[in-house]
Amino acid sequence: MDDLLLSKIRLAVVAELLASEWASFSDLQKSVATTNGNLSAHLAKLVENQYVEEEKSFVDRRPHSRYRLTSLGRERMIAHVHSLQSLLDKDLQS
Amino acid sequence: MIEDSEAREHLAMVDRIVERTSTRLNVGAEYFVVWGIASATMSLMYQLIADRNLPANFIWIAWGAAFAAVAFSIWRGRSSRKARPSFLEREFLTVLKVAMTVTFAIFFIELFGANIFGPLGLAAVWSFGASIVVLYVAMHGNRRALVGGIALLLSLAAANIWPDFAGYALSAGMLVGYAGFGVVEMLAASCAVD
Repeated sequence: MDDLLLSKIRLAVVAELLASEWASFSDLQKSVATTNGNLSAHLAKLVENQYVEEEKSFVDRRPHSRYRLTSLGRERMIAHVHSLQSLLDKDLQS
Repeated sequence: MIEDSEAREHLAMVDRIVERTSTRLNVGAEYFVVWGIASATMSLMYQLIADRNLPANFIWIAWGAAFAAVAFSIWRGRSSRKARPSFLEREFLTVLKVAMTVTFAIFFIELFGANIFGPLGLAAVWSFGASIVVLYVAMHGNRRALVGGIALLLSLAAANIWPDFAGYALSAGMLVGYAGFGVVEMLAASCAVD
């Protein structure tokens, strides 16, 4: 089980990025439905642990951040989902 | 550690998100496949007819391919209207509209008798527009799109160097660089979901 992905918001962010090339901060905020500050904090943790890559730029003189999943993030996400599935499978068998 | 109910809830959430995002990604890839095949068919038909390998009335296959691609785009556009496009998709659609508008403008000017380009010249303009679209996607870090864009540009160069085989070169470019890119994107999306 991946401790970083036990948070529901971080898990939702990584799932959102799984099939996307890049996603903007506002797109992630709409999908995950949380506050700016909360999402920023969770994204910072994902970036710090190299699960997610961040790119900052200016669009029409306004700061714009976009994010994409790294190969490490993808690997950890897949492993985490498998762990969750095997946990439920074990409980079904017992 | 995580409770069973929580694990079940997390898995259901991931399923919902992946299902939604993979649908968004596939929608774009299908257009590449359909338009790539239609454009390749048109260039190939023009070249085969010009080389007298096919009778002139086979040109209906080229127009049939174009009509089928337009019909598919209208049908797919209507059926996926409810999906919210991502930031990249919105930008991509803008570039696609600009490239298509420029290409169709040249096409209509040609229909009214300017005769700057022959049919294969128009196919080259179309390939040029397609390369802008694919390379725009490549600018956002998609290496598959970069390969597709290079294939399209190489086909344009080949068509220019060997004008007698321009239709074959442009057709191959559209198949590899545009339709091929769409197929690889669809495969990548299905791998991400798995």
